[in-house]
Amino acid sequence: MTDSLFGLKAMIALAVIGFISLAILLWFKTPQLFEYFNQAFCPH
Amino acid sequence: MSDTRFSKPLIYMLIGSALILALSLGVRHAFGLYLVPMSHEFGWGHNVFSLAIAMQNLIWGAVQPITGAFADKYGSKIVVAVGGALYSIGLLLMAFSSTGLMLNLSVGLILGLALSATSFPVLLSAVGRAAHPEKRSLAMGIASAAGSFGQFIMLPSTLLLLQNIGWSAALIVSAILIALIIPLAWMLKAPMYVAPNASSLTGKPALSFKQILVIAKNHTPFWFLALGFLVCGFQVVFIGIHLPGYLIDHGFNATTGTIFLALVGLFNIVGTYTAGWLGGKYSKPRLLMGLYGLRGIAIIGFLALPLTTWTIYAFGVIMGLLWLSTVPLTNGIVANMFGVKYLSMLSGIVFFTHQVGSFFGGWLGGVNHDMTGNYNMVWMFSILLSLLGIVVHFFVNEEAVIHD
Repeated sequence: MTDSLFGLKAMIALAVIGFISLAILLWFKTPQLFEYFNQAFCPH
Repeated sequence: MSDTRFSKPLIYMLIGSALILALSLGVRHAFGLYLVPMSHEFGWGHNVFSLAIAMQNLIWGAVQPITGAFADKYGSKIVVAVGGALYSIGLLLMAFSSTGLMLNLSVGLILGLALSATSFPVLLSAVGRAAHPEKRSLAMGIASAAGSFGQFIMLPSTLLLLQNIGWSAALIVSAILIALIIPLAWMLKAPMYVAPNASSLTGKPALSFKQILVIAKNHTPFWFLALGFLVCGFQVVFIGIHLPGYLIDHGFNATTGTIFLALVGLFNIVGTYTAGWLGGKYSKPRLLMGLYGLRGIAIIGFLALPLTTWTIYAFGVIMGLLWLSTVPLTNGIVANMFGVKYLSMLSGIVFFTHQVGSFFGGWLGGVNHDMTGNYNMVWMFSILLSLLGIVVHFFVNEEAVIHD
């Protein structure tokens, strides 16, 4: 593997970890999601 | 021996495909969040929005083989770019929709068409065409995992937008985000992988659309594969839509349901990537047999064990791992059977059956609950469908019918 490809892959890996961490943080900030889905789809 | 490693153009194409799938599927996944605020503002019953979404799913599935054929003929780049533009226009129109008719036009027709041009069959085929056959499944797994990630991140992001700026402005922001697909489509330009014994090199004439359709029509394993994908659509949509209601019926609160949805989303990313990676090493039909078998076992275990928050979370993790992991494997089998020249169209045909399964999974769950007050019949049917998934994939082999 060339150095340039290694650098590119390392950047991609860091971006993926960053985005997943951000997504998990967003889920913690939106505990109301389930209520939305429940109102939308479930006739209870 | 040819070099199987990802080339730089393929890596850029993978990045482009990943971003496009994350945007396209992520924004689509959050549509359900608009039902309540739009219905409330315009005094609609839930049926108005639900009809538009149902129309979208059917149009998406029905036109997918045609959109795929366009991508095969004119290139994925142009089809994805046009799809991105349509998607953006559809979202803007949705933001200003105040009647059921406008909603059916924007959400149903325009977004249904746009999704067929910017989702798995077209993007995975583009990636599959450029990758070495030994790395094709892995490449498809990476792109699929990005789509799963888009779904995972866009749900909470869209809810935050809805709460802070309102549904109409949230749709305009989504339209702007989706417009990024147009320039990203230009990253889909890695050259097609050409095998040393390819027909283009050996002088054999390439098959026409009509010839490939006749071959596919007469290839029984292709239809078994399509039937298997119908099972996937049914189970995923039934559980995705009706499990929250099932949990409410059993006295669980919103937090448990939210964590369940989050676990499915998070482990879906891991599952799709891993399935793509395993598909490059082992028989894909056998992996699909295992996958559908595990889904059946997970459902049986979920129903048989005492229902606690921990069994719900465990079910979320397992179903997440098995959620869209069928996608790279199923598309990879189509590529192995018929080659990559008409992959978008043929994957589109298989995807259509997935949408049919999705339609019945969502609908029958509601019918069962309305008639009996529970989901028992559809849970049992889902287990039987897992058995069907195992049986049909036993008869699928990924041997090449066409060498390209």
